[in-house]
Amino acid sequence: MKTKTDKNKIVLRVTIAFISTLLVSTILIQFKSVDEYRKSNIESLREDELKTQVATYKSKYEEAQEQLQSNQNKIDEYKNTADENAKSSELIEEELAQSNDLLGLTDVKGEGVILTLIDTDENRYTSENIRTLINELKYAGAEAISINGNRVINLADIVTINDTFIVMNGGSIRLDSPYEIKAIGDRKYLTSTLNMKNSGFVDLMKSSNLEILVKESESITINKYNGSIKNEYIKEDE
Amino acid sequence: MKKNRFYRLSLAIVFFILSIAITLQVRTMAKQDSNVTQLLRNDELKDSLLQWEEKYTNITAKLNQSNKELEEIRVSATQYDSSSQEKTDQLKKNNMMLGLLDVTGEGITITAKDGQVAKAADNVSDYLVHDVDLREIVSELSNAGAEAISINDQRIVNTTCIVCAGNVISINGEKVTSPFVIKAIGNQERLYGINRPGGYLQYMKEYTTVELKKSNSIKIKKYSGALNFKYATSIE
Repeated sequence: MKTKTDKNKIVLRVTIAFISTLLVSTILIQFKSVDEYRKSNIESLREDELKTQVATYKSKYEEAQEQLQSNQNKIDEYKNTADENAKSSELIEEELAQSNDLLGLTDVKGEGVILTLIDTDENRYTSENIRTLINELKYAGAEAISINGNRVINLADIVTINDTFIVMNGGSIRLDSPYEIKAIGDRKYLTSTLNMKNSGFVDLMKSSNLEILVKESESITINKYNGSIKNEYIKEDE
Repeated sequence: MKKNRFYRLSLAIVFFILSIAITLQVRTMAKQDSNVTQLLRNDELKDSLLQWEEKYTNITAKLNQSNKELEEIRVSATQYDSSSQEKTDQLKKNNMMLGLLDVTGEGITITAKDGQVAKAADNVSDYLVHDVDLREIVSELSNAGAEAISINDQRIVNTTCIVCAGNVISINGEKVTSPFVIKAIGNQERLYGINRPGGYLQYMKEYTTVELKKSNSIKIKKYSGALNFKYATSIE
């Protein structure tokens, strides 16, 4: 009787020892895998960044591809009209017109968004807010932008003077609320970028108690730049 | 008897803890599986990024070549026609202002560097040069009549956006990091006025290192990408 209980006890202890060893080793494995899990977590944080970069290069590549194609077409046309002065002067005129469009020296139209920014009793828009918006619009691929009817050209300045006035174009134009900002580009992409939850421009302004309205439009007209673009100091570097 | 009960109780506790640990482990392992595929995806993304980068570099080289060819043929096609020659000159000026040509002229160079954190308790972010700082500088330089601007050789063109991408800044879709070298061509005295007391640079200097230098000859590289309208059309 006594030996049987002893035997039972031994079996029980061995089993327990065996189970415990098994459990301890699984725990050890677990610690290791948790550690790896953390590492891969950091790695996966980069996924979004990688995706954005791939998309950026892809679209830049496509743009360059298009430009290359259009250059090639122009070169071919020039070659074909090499003997006819009249035709090559037409071609140069066309190229000049295109570059004037890009500079903002012509009225343009297309689909896009119209934003209205309104100061409230609690808060006022700053020049920094407006610059951030212009930057966001460009990020979303805006091709032409105007503020209260004034075309925003490359190297347009929007600054605050005396901590009170917001001015643009070298101080020649004073801007006041309500600010109407028009942008031509892919209207769906423009609105979705601005309306991004929390980090988008609309939510950021609303959380600062500022009023903002966004309207998509199938056809927006943006006026040309009124001044002349200066080139007193730059020369081509050959 | 009492000893035996204590023994059983402690065993029960130990096993209880161990089974919780095992459940946790099984869950983590399940998650980890999806992470392994994620890692694979990241590798694929990295490969694809490298491929696109290379394709882009190749095509910009071709584009450069074709731009030169186009300019040559344009000059030779219009050489006997004075009105066309004028237009060719104007086109060249336009391309300089659009940022599509390398340019040179008098101006200033601003170097902005992330600062050294003074006290351990300070917020590191305060000592960094941010995207908003660079936008402010570009706007102030434009206000002072800058005709061409680049930051770390990224030309500021009409489509340029300066954005924060994670913990780096991206300009024209390319990553740029501190020190930021901002070059501007224009009247050097006027441009240097950005350093005025109470101005933004003075404010930046509290936390970061900012140096300015006037120069009679600044060289600014052209934009390596392409500019064209897809959505906007001009109306006569």
